[in-house]
Amino acid sequence: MRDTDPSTNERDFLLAALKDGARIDGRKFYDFRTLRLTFGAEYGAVEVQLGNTRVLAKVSCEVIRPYTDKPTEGFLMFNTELSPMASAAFEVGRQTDEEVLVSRLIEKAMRRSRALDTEGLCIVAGEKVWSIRVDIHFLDHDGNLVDAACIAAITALLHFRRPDVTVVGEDVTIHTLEQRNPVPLSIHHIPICTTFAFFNNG
Amino acid sequence: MSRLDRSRTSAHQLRPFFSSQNLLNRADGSAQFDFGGSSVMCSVVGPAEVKLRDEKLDKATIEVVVRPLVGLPGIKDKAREQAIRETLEPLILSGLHPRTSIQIVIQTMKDDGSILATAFNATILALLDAGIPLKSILGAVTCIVDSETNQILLDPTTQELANAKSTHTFVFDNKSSITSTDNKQQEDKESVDVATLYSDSTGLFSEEEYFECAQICYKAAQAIHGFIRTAVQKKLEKEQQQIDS
Repeated sequence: MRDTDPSTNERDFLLAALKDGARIDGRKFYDFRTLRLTFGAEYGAVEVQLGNTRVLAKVSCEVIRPYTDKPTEGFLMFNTELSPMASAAFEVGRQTDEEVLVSRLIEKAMRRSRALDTEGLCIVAGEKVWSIRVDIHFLDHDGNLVDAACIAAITALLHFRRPDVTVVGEDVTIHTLEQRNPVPLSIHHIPICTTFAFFNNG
Repeated sequence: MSRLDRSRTSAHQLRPFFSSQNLLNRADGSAQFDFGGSSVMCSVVGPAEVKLRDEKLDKATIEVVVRPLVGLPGIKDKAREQAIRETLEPLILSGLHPRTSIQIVIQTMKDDGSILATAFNATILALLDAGIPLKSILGAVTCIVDSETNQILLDPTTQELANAKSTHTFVFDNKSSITSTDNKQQEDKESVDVATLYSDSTGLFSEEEYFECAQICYKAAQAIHGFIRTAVQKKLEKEQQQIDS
């Protein structure tokens, strides 16, 4: 289902209001909507509400074999598939431009900025590394998906605890949650995205 | 007896359930249903525009999308989609909205066992929230037969599911009733004259075990029917208050 463009009346009203320095919901130009974070019962589950936009992020981990050319690096994977729940304009299987944009921005902000230390995810070089997976689910689309997704992703990563590991020589023991307290991930810095919209060429 | 999750004392006790409706802004109807630690959110958009290839001339096309909490959707989710779609197709009065689509999206928010039953309950609440005409509502419950004690446990958690010899999910509607004989001695030979909308069983079990599970789940499903009724009632009262004030 395609999203309908706003009507001429709506567009004119919005632009006229902006010229007078007013936004539709009463905010000032540089105001953010109210941000609310709700943490789940498990580590690494967080729901972000930015006004009416809702995003859920869930972090999970597993132990896998690293790439042969990068034996000490762990994996960090993001899944930002937009579901029709967020908006009827999104279809299953079809990637809209917006979806690609959100996906790439999240990858750039999180991965390229090296917020998460992937070297610290190594257990046994060349054999076992942690693979961290962040699933971002978009529940409600009311604009600014990128900012909400970014906040959700980094908050979930900060909240997440991975199982503790002891390595004695070649022997690797992954402790269960009952045996030892889980360990947080090593995050160097907290990337936050801010989105601006330009109207009428500035 | 104390169950593994320590909050329940009886084998036939459901976890505390909780629901909330009208959560999303872009969907016509939405609801979240929790069975203890398992939580599923469902959104319904419809009756809406349908793609020409999916168009049905005399009915509404019902589309179900199931999204797991972790990972990309796989065959398990496709199986759940089919289960929910085939159960809902006779329940939704789709003849009232021909050549339209009713799109149902289900998102697992928290997973602690009994996800399919939670999804069914969330879906029916969301359909009610969206105002889609229905023949009846449904109530879904899961139960297992424990491998060690051979006891039937209702509404299992993930931990309990790991010890199950067989798992059963039942979905009942709220129009039928169990016909019982007046003689109490024949209670265990009660004829179960129930309209089962959906039944899924995996594992090793006997015919008696299956029907016993059905009985127990039916009683639990009636509690869920009552809960759904109360939930919708409260929502309408709140809306009425907002209109009056």
